[in-house]
Amino acid sequence: MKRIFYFLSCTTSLICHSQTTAKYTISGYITEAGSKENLPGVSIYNPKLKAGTTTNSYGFYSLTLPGDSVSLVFSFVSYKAKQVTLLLNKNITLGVELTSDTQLDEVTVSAEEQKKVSDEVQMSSIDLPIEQIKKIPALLGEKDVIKVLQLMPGVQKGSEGSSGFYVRGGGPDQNLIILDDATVYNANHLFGFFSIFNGDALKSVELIKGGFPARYGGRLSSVLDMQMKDGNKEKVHGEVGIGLISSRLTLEGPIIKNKCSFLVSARRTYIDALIYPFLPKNEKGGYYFYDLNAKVNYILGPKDRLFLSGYFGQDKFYFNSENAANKTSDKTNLNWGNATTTLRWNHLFNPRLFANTSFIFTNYKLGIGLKSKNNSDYFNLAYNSGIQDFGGKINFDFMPNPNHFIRFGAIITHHRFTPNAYVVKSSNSPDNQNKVRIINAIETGLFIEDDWKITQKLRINAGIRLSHFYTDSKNYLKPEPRLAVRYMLRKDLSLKASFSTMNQYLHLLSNTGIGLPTDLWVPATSTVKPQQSQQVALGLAKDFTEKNFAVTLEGYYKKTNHIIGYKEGASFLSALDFGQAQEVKWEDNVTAGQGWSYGGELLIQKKKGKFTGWIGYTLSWTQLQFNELNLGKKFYAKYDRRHDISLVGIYDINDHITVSATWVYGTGNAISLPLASYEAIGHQVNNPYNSSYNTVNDYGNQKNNFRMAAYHRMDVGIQFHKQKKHSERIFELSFYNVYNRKNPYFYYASQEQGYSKLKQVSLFPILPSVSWTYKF
Amino acid sequence: MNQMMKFISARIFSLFFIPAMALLLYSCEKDANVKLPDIKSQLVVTSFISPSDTLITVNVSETRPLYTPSNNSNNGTVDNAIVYLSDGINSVVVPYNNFRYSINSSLLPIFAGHTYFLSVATPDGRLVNAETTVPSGPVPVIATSYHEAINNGSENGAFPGEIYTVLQLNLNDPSGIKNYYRTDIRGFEVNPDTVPVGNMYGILKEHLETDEGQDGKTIAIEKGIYNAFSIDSELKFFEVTLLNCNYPYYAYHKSLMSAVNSGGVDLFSEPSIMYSNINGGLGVFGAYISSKTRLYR
Repeated sequence: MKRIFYFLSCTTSLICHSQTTAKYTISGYITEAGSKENLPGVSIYNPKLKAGTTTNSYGFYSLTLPGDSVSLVFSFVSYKAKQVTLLLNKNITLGVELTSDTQLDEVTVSAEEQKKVSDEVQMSSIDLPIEQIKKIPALLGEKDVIKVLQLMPGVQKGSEGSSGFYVRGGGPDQNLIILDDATVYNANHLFGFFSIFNGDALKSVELIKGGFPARYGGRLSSVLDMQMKDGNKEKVHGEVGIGLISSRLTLEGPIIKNKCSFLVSARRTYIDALIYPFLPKNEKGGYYFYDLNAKVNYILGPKDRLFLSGYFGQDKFYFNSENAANKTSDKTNLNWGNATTTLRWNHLFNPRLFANTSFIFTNYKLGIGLKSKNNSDYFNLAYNSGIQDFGGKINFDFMPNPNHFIRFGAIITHHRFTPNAYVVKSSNSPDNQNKVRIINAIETGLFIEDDWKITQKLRINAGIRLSHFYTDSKNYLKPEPRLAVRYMLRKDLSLKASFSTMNQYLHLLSNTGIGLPTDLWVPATSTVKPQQSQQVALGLAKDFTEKNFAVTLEGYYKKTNHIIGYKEGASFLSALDFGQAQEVKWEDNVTAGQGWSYGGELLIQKKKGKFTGWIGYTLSWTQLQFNELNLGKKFYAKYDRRHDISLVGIYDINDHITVSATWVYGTGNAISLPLASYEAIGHQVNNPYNSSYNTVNDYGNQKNNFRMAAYHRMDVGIQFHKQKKHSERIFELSFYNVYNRKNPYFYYASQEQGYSKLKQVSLFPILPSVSWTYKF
Repeated sequence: MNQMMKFISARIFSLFFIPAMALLLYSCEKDANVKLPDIKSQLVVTSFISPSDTLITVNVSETRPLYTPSNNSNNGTVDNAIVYLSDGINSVVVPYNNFRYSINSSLLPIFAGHTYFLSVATPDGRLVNAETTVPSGPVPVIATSYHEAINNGSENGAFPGEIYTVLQLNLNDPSGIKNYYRTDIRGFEVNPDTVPVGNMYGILKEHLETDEGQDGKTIAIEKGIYNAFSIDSELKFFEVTLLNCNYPYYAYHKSLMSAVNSGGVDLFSEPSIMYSNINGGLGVFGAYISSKTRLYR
């Protein structure tokens, strides 16, 4: 390690002293005024030298400039820009506080100094201001990060209300969802209707759809990187929210002023409590979910900071019935939940070298319990599946001069998979049937990347990631080259291109694709290869700085290999090898295939001013091919979506009233719809002249042969803010599906007058909701 | 196994179903207002030919289109079709007889390695055709052995701890060509040659296999058989039938097995797309050559 630092120090000296003028470094943390919350992604710009940088995920920046009188502009969306002029004749530590911009002026910072989309080398990325998420109307008033992301081009929802998301044709398992460095495996509450991320506890949300920097790896389609708030370091602050289905509470504040702070945010639904009195005495059932985010941080000194954060969430559905007369009872429950814990240590080796070390634990578990009793007969089943990770990660940010931002590091994770474990006890076979199959695996990654400003016009991010996976006595070692290029065609207009290779050593076995908790995480093994993808993207980015909006247009082509799916006729239950003489392995029920996704995305976004929002349009194709599905022929993926449109508008009429509306349109899902039925005759080996008949369906000889009706919907909301001296109250009224569109959730055939009729079931009609929030 | 799975499948389904019902309180149902593809009844033609069969049979039926009124009955059997079978030189009309079309194979002998053509026309103008090539010869079973194993669960509904028989057969896969196999293993308490078939228990184990990755090698197929109606040691006679079948035969039966699984027992499973090599219709025209082996305990 010492050698690395020595090498870096020498490199720094070399880069910094290769020119005649002495150079000095200005570095420090940028925080929010009033809370001392670190602000990631803040732009720091020196207009004279046209040099700049941005803060890293911990709000730290470092800029090395020639010694002179230097003027720096610090700017960030939703914050008032700040200009600082100083004499740079030595290395300077400069902490800056930015004030939240509540005036909503159209222009708060001159065009030159803004952070611009056209300037960034990263393409195919979306960062969502949390405040914007809170203003967008939501299903039953439950604000949801993932559902807002679904309104962006290239990101699609699955079915109605679902919080699973599909990025550029990739499945929900191909999204790396990280919360404070910890991977979240199942981000769903209530069978996917709500995501587990509580906006009150989040500081930043960034989604990358392509052109992945080398620091990210392990998934094929996207990276959703979320950071929890650190907690107010100056004063205690809280927020209470009461909605139709849940309530939430957030409390944050200093433990030691300006040094150590905490944040706790909790949410729980109360449907079960509300319906309980109305259920018959001998039949009690219900559902609830809760989640809890907690974080503590401690500033050890100017060079060291510690963060400890955790997420705990659980869903539980239960149904118990009893019939004393018949001496029967039934108890059923289904529960699933995530837990993550991250301990992070930030250390500043010198003003240009920042390091973060994380220790990460994450656990996802699904459990099913059945207890059935009929007189003296009984049947008990306890089933569970899950995944548990322990890991460590070290990242270095090295900023030798304004033209280079070098990141390098390593990550190691130990995965422990339990594809299925069960205990069965029944009166038929009084001995317990026990089965636990545990698979251990180790995943490691080494990466280095450089964001390099070659000229004022040409900037690249080049990197390589070396990933390794070990399981089942099998080693996989794969290099993943990454490259992103930005070329300024003219002022505020750039051409961008990217290439990335990704490997994914984890597979999700899913029948439904909507993110049910029964979906099973399994590792690559000696027989099931890791998934791999290669993606190229080309795009244009244009900023209209005077008018405060930006336009991006991108095209992409992505090829994926070794993706897996259940064989026809198989499901997650096929892995339940009750009573099989030979062990049934999940590997035997899956088939490997390949996928092709390509398309174009247009985003016109206005992030500042009284009116904010965006227009997104996606034109895309996604096809799959598996040797053992659809007779080996290509077919359109269920979520292949030719057209996807979203319009989002938020208007702050004044300081007291905000109105918002969203409209979405999407081509219908491709599903397998039986068109006809017939008697299929099987050959009987020992009785060839007698035939066996089985009624089967004809799907027009093609899987996913039918398109559901197109989906469209409009939501509207109005928020009333009442500002008091030390508190704020927000009352919100919103309508989901305001014009009551009957979007298809599924189709089924109903027998009427001797023949089957195709029926459509729609889920949510117009749904009004109210919520009330109190902040202090 | 199936019963157990069905039970658990149903229970887990009910777990999803109850919250789904709650959601459906909000939901609404209506006739689907979507453009359905033009669905017409299609001919379904099924025939399996083999040099060893004395009778050639062809089943002709039609599909029942869903979502339109239909008066189709009798399993959809079509009795007024004209069925031609040809070996490329000679052709015969296969007449309708007792719910299917059949002729004695002496009228058009079936030979290993030959290609045959089938066409079916109906008075309403529908015409379908298919061709199939009989495998080049039988693949004999070269070794058969059995051993006993203790069940650690339930085989065909049996209890753990019971003894069952595992039969292993070896075959020499002909190299250079793709082969497909189907095995059928039966266990009997009495010699099937001395007692009429109807008077004994036959326990059937079926299996489909390809030589993928094993071309030209000795392929071992192992299947456990368990007699639910008697104790294991009472199974005295085993009969192994090995079919060397062509691809249409194999692919059709593989998709049929998946379709039967996905339609019935497991509510979560993937829908299965049926294989067909009938141009303009559904069903299959397949061929096989069988070989039989006996084993006595």
